[in-house]
Amino acid sequence: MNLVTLELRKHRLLIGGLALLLLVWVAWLARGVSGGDPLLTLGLGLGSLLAIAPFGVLVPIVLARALAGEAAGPLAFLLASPRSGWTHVAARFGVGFAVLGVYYAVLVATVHWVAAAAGVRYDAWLPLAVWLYTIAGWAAPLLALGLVYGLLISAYRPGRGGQIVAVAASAGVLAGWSWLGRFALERLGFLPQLPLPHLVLPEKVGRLFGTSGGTLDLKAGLEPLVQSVPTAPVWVGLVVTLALLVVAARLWEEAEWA
Amino acid sequence: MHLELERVTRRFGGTVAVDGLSLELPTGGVVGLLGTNGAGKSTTLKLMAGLLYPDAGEVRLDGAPPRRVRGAIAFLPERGQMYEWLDVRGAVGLFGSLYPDFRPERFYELLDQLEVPRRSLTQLSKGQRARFLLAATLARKVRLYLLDEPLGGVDLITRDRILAALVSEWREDATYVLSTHEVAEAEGIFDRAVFMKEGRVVLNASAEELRERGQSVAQAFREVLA
Repeated sequence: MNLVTLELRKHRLLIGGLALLLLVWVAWLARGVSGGDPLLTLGLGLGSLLAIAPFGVLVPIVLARALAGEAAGPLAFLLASPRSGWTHVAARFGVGFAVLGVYYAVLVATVHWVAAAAGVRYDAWLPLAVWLYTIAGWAAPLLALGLVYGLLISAYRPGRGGQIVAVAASAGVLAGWSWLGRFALERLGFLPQLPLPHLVLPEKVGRLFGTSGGTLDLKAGLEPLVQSVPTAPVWVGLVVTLALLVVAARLWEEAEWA
Repeated sequence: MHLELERVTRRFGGTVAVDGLSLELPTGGVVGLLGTNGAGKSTTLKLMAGLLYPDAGEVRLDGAPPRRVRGAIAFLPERGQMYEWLDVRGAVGLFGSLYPDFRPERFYELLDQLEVPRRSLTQLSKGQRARFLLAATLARKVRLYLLDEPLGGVDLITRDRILAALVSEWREDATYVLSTHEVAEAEGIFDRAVFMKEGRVVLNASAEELRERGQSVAQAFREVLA
């Protein structure tokens, strides 16, 4: 059992729970989608998506909570291991990232299927882009933050040599976000962009959005305002994630088992 | 492994667990870290293992801080706990993954020697779990073994088995430091006894030195720590 399988084994209830949730959701939608009304189908898909998507936040919470549980004993064996902090942090982050990656991939794919069933067509990369935004811009930084706070709460005792790291980890996170956000806004033009999608809506849905022919061309409508979709949130999220992982690996090296 | 603690102090809030402790242990031998409850034995072992940092002073193993040489240290915590669902096969994988020096064959031998059934931890008694972790710790091939109360809370027969396992694992190039209250039973295996009281070393004597004084470890324990 390596560190990755250990993480999978530790979080089997969470993984099983999320899988079951997805299964029930997809099965429930499959019944609704067969009804044929595009408006109802879309409503069911998007409405239930809003209800189910926030469950992903359980992953960083459980990840952070697991560290507290390990402080009762296993953490002594983990911290005493000559393997670097990076190895431990990477195993935990990797499993959490994979779980959230699959979870949101299923969500995006299911909504894509629901939209297709309702007659909504768009560029194929759009669901991929939504998934990328969710994973890189939201899930990854949150996971890394969960690891940092889990370590701070469970094993790190400020007051000795490495207290700078603790202060940087807790106070620096907010400052880092703000700085990166500002930087991203100022330098938006230099970051790679994603092209705008071409969206085709069925007539009934199109009428709801005020398009007479059933076709809503997002690109034509928005191009004068923005050339394309900014990728800043993805890059900012990745930079923040990397910075937090560095802090988490450093904290691991300094953590105590009291 | 040459172990050196120089004026080491460790506090927990207002409590001073280890108070300006200085200690030097040469490579090799079995060292008993002895003292009454609250003497600071466990904290001292954790400081040696690098699982705690001193508030003042320095801990050095072959001249380096413990965390730098943690691959050379095996630490068994007192009342150590592991993932409840872990079974023998999983433990071999996990310890093998955590510690490159872990020897699965030796682990199986030690489990048999300590009479630990090959089941998951949930199916083992408290004493069997402790021996399971002792076997995992001793199955590593390192230069410093730090064992916190390996003889605590076990019956006489089990105690003998643990001592036999320790003796069978003994290597000349390795140092074994074990804290215990079971002074009389463990007396035969100590090469050196370090007596602690209120976070300080009050006596550090080799078995030979104690013999020259006409004292057993148990007698010295009573005299020094009473």
